[in-house]
Amino acid sequence: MDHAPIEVLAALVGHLLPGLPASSLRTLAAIGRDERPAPGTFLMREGRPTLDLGLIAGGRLAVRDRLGADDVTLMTLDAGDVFGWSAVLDGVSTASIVALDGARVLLFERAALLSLLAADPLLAVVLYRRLLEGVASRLDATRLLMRDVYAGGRAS
Amino acid sequence: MLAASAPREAARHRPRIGVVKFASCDGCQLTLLDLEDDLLAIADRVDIVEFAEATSRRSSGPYDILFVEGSISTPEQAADIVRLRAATTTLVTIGACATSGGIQALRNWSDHDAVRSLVYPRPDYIESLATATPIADHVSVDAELRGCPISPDQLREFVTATLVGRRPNLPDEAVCAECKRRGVVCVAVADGVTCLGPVTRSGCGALCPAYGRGCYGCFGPREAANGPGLALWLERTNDVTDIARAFALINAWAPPFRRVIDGAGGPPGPIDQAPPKESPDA
Amino acid sequence: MTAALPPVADAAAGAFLPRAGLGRLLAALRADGCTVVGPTIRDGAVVYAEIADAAELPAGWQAASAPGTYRLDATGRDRAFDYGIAVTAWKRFTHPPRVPLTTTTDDGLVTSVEPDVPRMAFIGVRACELAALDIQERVLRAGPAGDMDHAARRAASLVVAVECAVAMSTCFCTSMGTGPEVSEGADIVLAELDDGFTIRALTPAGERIVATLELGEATAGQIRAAAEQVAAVRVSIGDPVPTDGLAERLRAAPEHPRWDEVAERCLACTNCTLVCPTCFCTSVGVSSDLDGTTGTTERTWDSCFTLGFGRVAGDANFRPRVADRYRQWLTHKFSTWWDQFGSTGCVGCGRCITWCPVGIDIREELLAIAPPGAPPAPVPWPPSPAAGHAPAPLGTVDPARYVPVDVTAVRRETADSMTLSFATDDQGLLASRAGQFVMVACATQAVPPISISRIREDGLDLTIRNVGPATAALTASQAGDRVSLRGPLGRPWPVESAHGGDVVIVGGGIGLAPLRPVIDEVLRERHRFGVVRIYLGARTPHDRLFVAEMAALSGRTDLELEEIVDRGGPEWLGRVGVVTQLFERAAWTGGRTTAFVCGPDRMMQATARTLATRGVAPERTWVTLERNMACGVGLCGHCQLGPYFVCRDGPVFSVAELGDTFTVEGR
Repeated sequence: MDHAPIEVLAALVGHLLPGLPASSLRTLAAIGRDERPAPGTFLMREGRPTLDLGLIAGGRLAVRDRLGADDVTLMTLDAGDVFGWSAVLDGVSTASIVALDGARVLLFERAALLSLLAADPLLAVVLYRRLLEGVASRLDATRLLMRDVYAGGRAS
Repeated sequence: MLAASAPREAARHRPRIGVVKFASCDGCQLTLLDLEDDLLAIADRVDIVEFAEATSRRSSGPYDILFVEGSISTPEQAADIVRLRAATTTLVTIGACATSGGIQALRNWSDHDAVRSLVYPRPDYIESLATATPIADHVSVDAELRGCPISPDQLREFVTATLVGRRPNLPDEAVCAECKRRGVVCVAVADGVTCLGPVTRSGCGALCPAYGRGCYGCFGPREAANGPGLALWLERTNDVTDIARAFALINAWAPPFRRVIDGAGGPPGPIDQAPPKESPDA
Repeated sequence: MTAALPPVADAAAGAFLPRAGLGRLLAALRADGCTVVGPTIRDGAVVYAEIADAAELPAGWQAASAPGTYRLDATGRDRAFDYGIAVTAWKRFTHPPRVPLTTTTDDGLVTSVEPDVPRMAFIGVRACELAALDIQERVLRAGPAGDMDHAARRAASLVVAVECAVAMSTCFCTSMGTGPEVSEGADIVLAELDDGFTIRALTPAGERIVATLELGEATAGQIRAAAEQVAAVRVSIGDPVPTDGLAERLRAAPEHPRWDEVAERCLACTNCTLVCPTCFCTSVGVSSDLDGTTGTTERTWDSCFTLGFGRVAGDANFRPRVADRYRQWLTHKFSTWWDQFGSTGCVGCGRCITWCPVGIDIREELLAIAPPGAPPAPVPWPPSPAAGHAPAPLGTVDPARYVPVDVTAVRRETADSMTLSFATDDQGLLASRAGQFVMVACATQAVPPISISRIREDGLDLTIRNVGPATAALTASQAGDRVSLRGPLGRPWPVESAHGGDVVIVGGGIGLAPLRPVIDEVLRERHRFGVVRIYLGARTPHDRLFVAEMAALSGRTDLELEEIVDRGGPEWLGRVGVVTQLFERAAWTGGRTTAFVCGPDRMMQATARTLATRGVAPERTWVTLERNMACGVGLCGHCQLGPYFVCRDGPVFSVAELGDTFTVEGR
């Protein structure tokens, strides 16, 4: 697996998590892995331990669920999105994440990340805020879809 | 709705129409016969395959449009309506009995067995349900024509619109709107008459208020019918029993009216407390 | 009847008509060719109806009115005009409850019914009623196309006002600034004294009538007595509803708990609106013969208290709750009417109080919801539409003018939508602009508003989703069929305002249809715009419109096009989610961007929020609203939204113009 030099990783992280001081960037980059999973690779499986928190640096991922015999894509994620937030919660994935074309992800191992977050409040503030944004945006999307469900396809 | 999606198809296809009845007085079916010349024109364009009041032809379906009169009052009727629904594309309830249970739904508040023994010398011969209920309590209903009896104008409009694939113009507004358009002076405000017009669906052309009578709600509750709101106002000048009596008539079992009746502890003068016929002094 | 003129002659300003001469006045009016309509007693109440003789006037009767009650009491005097006001408003004669409009034949031709208008004289018109006639006139002539029937009726009417000598308990004209004194708006003004009337003419038409009566001058005492009488009425009414700041106070209270409370008492029966002398809302009903060869339309009084009033295609409804409807009515009367027409919408006649069958008193409601006193917190209120770009030009569209057009091609877009192409050489239709819509009439169906999805040199495209019988009939059209179009209507997208800047186009589902002319226009003059970004959402891949065309666009290098669907399928390789995901973390910022957005309300709200975070100004974020647009020219009232009629002032609005009307539910 390719490992970019820490400076490259730090620059990428800085781009994806704006507002982090340089010191936090370097410590975070130090535990990060820069990976380009092949299409179809499962980065996470529903109900299994969440090993990493992920930031999408490029390409696209799919949030998948199984409905009977079918794998259903509930949502796709693009560059800038975060995934695997259960890594900082109970550590159990609530959905499956599959790489699609051209995916490039930065992964941060759960235990190392949790110790960093405990030690670096500034990092914690920026990262948790980013996670909150991600959760809020997905809840917003879900709410729009839920309206559709309740409205039974009616307008507005 | 039949042919709603394509008037062209309606032109090609002669719809099969049936008229059936359950617990009811036949008055709504007679409205169909009252259309007279219009009925002949309609009959030119459809096949009336079942209509006991008018023809001896009988059909077990299928029906493109089935007009259903009456409420479900016996176990046999409850089974029949399910069978008819399965054979029907557009099921239309006609009249208060089919739509809300009708006047016979007043028995829903009483002790069914007691009433049966009061009315029939051999109640064990009578097989009936404890309640008289609207068709929609048993099967899905596609359209309703309200009233006791239904309005010939609304019936004509429904049939015409359906034949040409148009949405029938059956407003879901209060009788008041018709009173005001006609210029009828409000009998509730000017005469203090108890009038259910504000909570009753239009369609009659404000018939009763035009003759100085309060609306007695024969078209049943309109959309957003605020029965309790009207009852609250009537309480200023009426006692609770009077108010319940006003609502406990032809559409008593319709939920917005039922709420008012239940709020008053049921319809006034329950029939199971009436003296038995054989022993007037009992 | 037009704006009042000053008194034309001193004699006419102060003549005296003895009581016995009242019959001569009526005769003079009839001799002038008028049917005389005035107060008379029917079914225990005073109504306005045709009267043949002065003896039919309600002499000796006075009305006792209170919330929800009305009674006539004998006065023991022979005065004819002490009855207060009649049940009926004069609108019964100037804006009748039923008016036939059109006949449509199955060859798609629409014929308008010409107004058949009698010449009428109204006698007994009160000051508040004069104000109401004036207000309705302003509303129904506001355009872009005035109400022809109403205009004809007003032009053919002569107004004889009578000053009030008695107030009813429900009167509050003094608060609304409409009475009790008559100052203008009538042809002739009477003031009733015990032995007769002072009479003055305010217009040449009135002067002509008065001159034929050959009356003597009123004495100074008679004139003074008349003035004292009406002054006493003013004192007895007082000022029940202080209106200072009322419009603003109401505007600040869209979520007051009293709306829900009054909705528990309100029966939404429509009485208040139908007795109101200014309420003007109507609906158009369609009827047809059994074969569907001929359809006729009729306009009838309607009310914002009915459920159907706020209903749009697919049975969605913008004002499902009674509280929504009550708020709509009250805020329109006392607040947004000012924004729309520059006047109050209430004249204080009190009819809605008397004839409410549960006695709801708007004076009380107003005092509870918008109490006088402390000024309300300032509420950001949208600027008037004129502050943005102009509404559709006035006078170009005859509301009754339908143009027959031929269907030249039909193309299926999705399982439930079709694009119909029409050919026409009608210059009006060909001058359509992006964002405008047309009313589409076919034989026996209701007439739905359909937005234009392409403007061609030789015609128009309409993309129609089958959501009910009328759209079902349209989507079943075939090449060679003929329908009639009325339009173009509404305010277009301000595409030129984006010149020199970037463009973002966001479409949800069928919402792409009214946006396609924007795309066409932008591409036609591509050099005038910076970066062009198109973001499209749909429920499923099968619900996407113009699939091949959009695929071709996405291959172009001079624009960006991204698509997303709510629910993909195994065959869908694109993005899945909601449309805002396409740009919520995009690299661009929107300082010089103009956005054009169309889709379901919620989608547009979410899009507007996300665009704001990207820096697109609300003044440059344009949405197009769906409402119940029945007349298309601001006359029927169905699509009223805050200070706007969506059909006339929109359907295109900037998010800044809409303010909280965009987000408060039930508006």
